[in-house]
Amino acid sequence: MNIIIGSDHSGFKLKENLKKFLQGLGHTVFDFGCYSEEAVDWPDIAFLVAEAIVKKDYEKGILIDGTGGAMPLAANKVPGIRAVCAYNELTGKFASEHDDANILCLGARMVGDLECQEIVKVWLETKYAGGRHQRRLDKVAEIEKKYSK
Amino acid sequence: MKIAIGSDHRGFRHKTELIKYLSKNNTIKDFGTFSEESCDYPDFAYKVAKTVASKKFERGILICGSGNGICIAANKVKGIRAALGYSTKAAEFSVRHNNANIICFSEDFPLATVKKAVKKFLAAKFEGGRHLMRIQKIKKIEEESL
Repeated sequence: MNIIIGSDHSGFKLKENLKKFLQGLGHTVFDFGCYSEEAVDWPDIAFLVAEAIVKKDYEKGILIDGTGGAMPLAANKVPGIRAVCAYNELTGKFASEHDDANILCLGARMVGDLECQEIVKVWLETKYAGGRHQRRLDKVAEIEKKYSK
Repeated sequence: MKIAIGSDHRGFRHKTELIKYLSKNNTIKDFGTFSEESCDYPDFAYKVAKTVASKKFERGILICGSGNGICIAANKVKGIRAALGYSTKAAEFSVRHNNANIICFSEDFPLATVKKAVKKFLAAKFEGGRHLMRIQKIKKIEEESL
């Protein structure tokens, strides 16, 4: 799978770790920054990744900040993005199964590296369930339409 | 504080408990759902998000099964910064750093944790400074494309 990964400075180390982990699983990983622990603004990275996913250049994206709470605020502003904050394996599973999340958000200061690897793995392996969840995602798309110029 | 609260059927129980818990010291309005009958979370996310974005209410609380579906939907509304309160720290920092105006919970979080997290969320103040610059970048995107 073609996966984009991006982080702010607080997520930089976890991003480097996950990059290797995903490559080890056979995925092609594209790093959209940041490229050091020097402070950056997370919305810059969030929008870069979100817009690339919407254009369908890449299949899925991962965004990392300190708590995993900031990236979804920005990424979900982009129509077509479903960015979910996951903090354990079950929420990683539901991100795919219920919300068809095309971006997974992780908190590097809250969740350990090994746990994050497992979360990412289950998110990638789980299939979207559709059915009643699709009716709800259609309603999310309707909200997007109301706010799109 | 004026608070708007909403949930889907899965979050109905926590919503009921939180209304009891918060109504002593706050004005809280329930935007539904009003039973455990199956419904769609975006309907309630939109109602709460719209009223918080219009500044009729200062903060919003949303609850669904995972907390995430309702969080995606709320963030689609212009002016909304909705975060998942998966721990007390996550709830506190969503306001201190990200100026979150809506906090989202999973019905599967223990009620005691949710109560602690909601207290932190309501008491926290936005720190501004470098964080303000970042929030303004989201606002810019909203203004350009939404």
